[in-house]
Amino acid sequence: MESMQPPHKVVDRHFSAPPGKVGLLYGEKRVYSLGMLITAEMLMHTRSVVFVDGANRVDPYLLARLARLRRIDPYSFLERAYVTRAYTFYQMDVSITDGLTEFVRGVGSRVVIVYGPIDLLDDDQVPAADAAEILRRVHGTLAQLKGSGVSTLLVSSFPRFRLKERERFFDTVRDMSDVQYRLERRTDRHHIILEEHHDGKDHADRDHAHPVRREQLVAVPPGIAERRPGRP
Amino acid sequence: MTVTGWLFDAYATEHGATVWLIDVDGRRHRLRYPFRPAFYMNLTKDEERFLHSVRGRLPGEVALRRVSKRQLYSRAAVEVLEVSVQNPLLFQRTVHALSKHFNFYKFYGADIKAMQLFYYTTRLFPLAYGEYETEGETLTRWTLLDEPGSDRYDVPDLTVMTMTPSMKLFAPKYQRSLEIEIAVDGVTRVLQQSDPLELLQQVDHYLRRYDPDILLTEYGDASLLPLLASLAQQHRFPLALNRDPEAPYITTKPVSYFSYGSIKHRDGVFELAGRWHLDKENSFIMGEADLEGLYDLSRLSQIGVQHQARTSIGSALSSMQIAWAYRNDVLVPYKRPVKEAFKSFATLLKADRGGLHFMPPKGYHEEVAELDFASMYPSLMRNHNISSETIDCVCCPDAKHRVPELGYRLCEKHTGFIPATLEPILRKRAKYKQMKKNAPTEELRRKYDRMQTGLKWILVTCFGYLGFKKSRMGRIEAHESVNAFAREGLLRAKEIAEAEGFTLVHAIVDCVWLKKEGAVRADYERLAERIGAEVGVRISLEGIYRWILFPASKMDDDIPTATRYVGVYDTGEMKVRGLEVRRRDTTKYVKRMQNEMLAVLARGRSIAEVRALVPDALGVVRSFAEELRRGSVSPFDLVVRRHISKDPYEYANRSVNAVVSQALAEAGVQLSAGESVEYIITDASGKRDPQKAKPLALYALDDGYDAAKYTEMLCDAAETLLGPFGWTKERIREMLDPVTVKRPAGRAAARRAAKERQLSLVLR
Repeated sequence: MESMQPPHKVVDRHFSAPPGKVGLLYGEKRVYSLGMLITAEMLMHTRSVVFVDGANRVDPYLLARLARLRRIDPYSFLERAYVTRAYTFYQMDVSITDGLTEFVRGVGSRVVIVYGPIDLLDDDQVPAADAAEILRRVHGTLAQLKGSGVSTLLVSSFPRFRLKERERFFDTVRDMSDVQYRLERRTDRHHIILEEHHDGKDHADRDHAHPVRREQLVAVPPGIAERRPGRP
Repeated sequence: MTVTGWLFDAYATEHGATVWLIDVDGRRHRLRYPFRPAFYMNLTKDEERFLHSVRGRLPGEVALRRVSKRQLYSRAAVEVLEVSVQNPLLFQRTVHALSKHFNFYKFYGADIKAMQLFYYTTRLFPLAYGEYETEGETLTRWTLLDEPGSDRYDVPDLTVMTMTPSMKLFAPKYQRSLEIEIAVDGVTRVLQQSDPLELLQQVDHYLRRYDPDILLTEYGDASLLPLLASLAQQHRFPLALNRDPEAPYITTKPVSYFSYGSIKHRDGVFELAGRWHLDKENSFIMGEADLEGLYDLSRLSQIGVQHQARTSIGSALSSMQIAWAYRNDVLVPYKRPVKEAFKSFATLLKADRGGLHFMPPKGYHEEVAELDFASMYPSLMRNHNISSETIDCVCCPDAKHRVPELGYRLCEKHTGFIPATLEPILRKRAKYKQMKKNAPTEELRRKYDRMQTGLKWILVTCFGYLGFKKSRMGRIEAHESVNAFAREGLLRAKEIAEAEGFTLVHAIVDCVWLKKEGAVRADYERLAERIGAEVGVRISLEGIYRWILFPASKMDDDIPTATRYVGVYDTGEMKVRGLEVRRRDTTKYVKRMQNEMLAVLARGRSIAEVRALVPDALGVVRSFAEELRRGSVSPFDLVVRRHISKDPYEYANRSVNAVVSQALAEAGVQLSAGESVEYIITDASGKRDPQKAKPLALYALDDGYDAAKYTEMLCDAAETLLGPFGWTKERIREMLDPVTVKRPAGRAAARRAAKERQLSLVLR
């Protein structure tokens, strides 16, 4: 189904209600800019958004610009978005499993966005056994957040693993999520494809959840500028 | 028995460590030391019971005991299980076996090399002078008469034998047959290569006859020693490379790895037991600081001399930090680093910034003075007690000492491990600089210069290492804090200077370029004193320039660059940074031309005089271009050196790097990503010759070179210096060949067009 609705609004609307789910947004590299657009949309109606940035793509300048486009004081957005950055998968582990739940509760946020949960896996200094253990622990924390009504959106570019044996971890991350959105370029436009949507039950019940498969195409305007963080 | 002398070498064996001492009479002693490396685990009672149950299935015997240690960040005491491995050679295998049963975050200090644990736990260090007690062949105890931070120490007389390929033009991997040259005792000999066994016998003869302490090689790691060891194995020849006949060689394989967005290559390692193998081609620190700097660094870092020669400066710093942790009973984190505290995007905007730059107006300036802060970043770390565990520490909730702009608290009760580690280095370096200044002979002056250079590199590295993702004791907030203090310091320097009537021309992080009509040396020195006193970091006058040039950016000719400049001091000395003449990727020929141009321009004492010298400088360009056109330039001066980012057959395009690395691979030279290739461009366009360039190793004189391409390079380098006088590279090219040269758009123009296209992209 083609829609001319802005994609970030679609994802925001689809993802934000009901609360307490895990989503995966992945696709070509503009996915991180789209993540910032979604954040801006969320900040219009939620108290705060908490980021764990494993891709080094969180962009306060873009968020400030998006606030201005909405005729909102940029600081009102910048003060309500929080971030911790992770540069290795071990840091990602600590950032999520050690204190995230408490921080989210403290700032009263209902949304966590994790950038690059898959990107950091392509590191031969993280043994596969450690990676699997970290994913298990991360899954535990996300389930805990979900249980308390906090939604987590995992955002990742298309997984292109140098270490081929790590590709299976993408499936592990997919399996953590109740809903997956794929950003794809078709002809001259970007589309968001809703790949799979479960009925919101916990992963423990996943085999019985009868996932609903449907494809929803949303055209993304070509103007989502691909920007590097740190550029005003 | 007491041996008075120096600790020369130490390596792990199945019974502990083998330690080599050299006594004051020059005798070598091989001793055993019963050493058991240990790591720590933080386990629950159930997990501990489980560990006891799997103990018998571990690769080697372990001893377990509960000990009390402190956590690094919280300083809290914690009871952990110490796991001592009876056979040090099985240390890593034991960790590996246990990590199958226990999660990685249960371990502490488990990825430290056994021999490093030897140094940390015994507090010995390479070249430590002391009285060593022995019983038979066992080292029992010692009294050190020396300390790692000492700035006056003796080293034993070490015998050196050099071993190099006799053909120096190419690295051995490019040579079909290798001829080895040995120099010892003042005599150089080229060894006969016709028969491998004969070669081995000759090498062995010299090794046994001279029994050198140091085998100093070129390409020893990558080629010479692996070749000799392999020949010895093939011919079952007992080659005495090791002084210890019972010990194996310590070898690693070459690796290609990613670092800061580019592929790097590291040669394998070939270390010896009981003597040092030092490879000049595989040692950054020896290139910078020679043997004296290496010894000094090795003593401070407690890393064996052979290993220190090959490892990074960051590893030396890391080792000093770990040594601090062991001295203070602090647990060393294993894999699990400290996380960054959550911060709002607004705070991130303030915190995630580097040092301050004030861009200079591009072009030539005159009568400008440069003032440099001395070791600014490490000094700030020491002065403000900036360390991973001192930021927002639990013990000082009301600390008054705060980071500017960011408000992070700084511990007021305990000295952090980073300032504690840096203090002796800063002190020692200042002392060496003083000793260099007062040295009675040129030889001593050079020696102290090399020693201070070795330490300089640690100070250069220490700040970056705080934010390095793999630094096990780093912390991003500490990194941000140093930058915040540095920005404040630079701003304060600017304010003071401007209040005193100086104009800021340029500033980069820890240097300022200032100007004031009629100001003399004494005025700048007075200013430096005042800035130093207020900022708390010493700043000194580097010099006053007659003229200084800040050239335009090569990417966009509308803007200047911060780190590329050239200037001539009032003493006549020249300082060049970042220009072609300093770059490793510039050909010798272009460097020579730019050097000659600079020599011409340096005659000018003012901008007006420099302008008057432009025709002479253009004459230099013309003569170099004519020589190129005549075909009389030595191809060796035209060699281009580049790193390849992929293995040769992974390239999907026909770039010069691709064709050159593939040509080499076809000739039997194995190259890996990150290695460098050297070539001569024969036809950059690939229209006449699809090969585009010839690797230096396969080059024949009749291959010729692409004169037009090399002329382009000359024009580029000439534009850097003459651009401010209107001599763009297009105009210079036209001057060289007004008939045939077409005026292409140029890179800068293309950039401008691309920028305009980008600007038209708006976020809808």
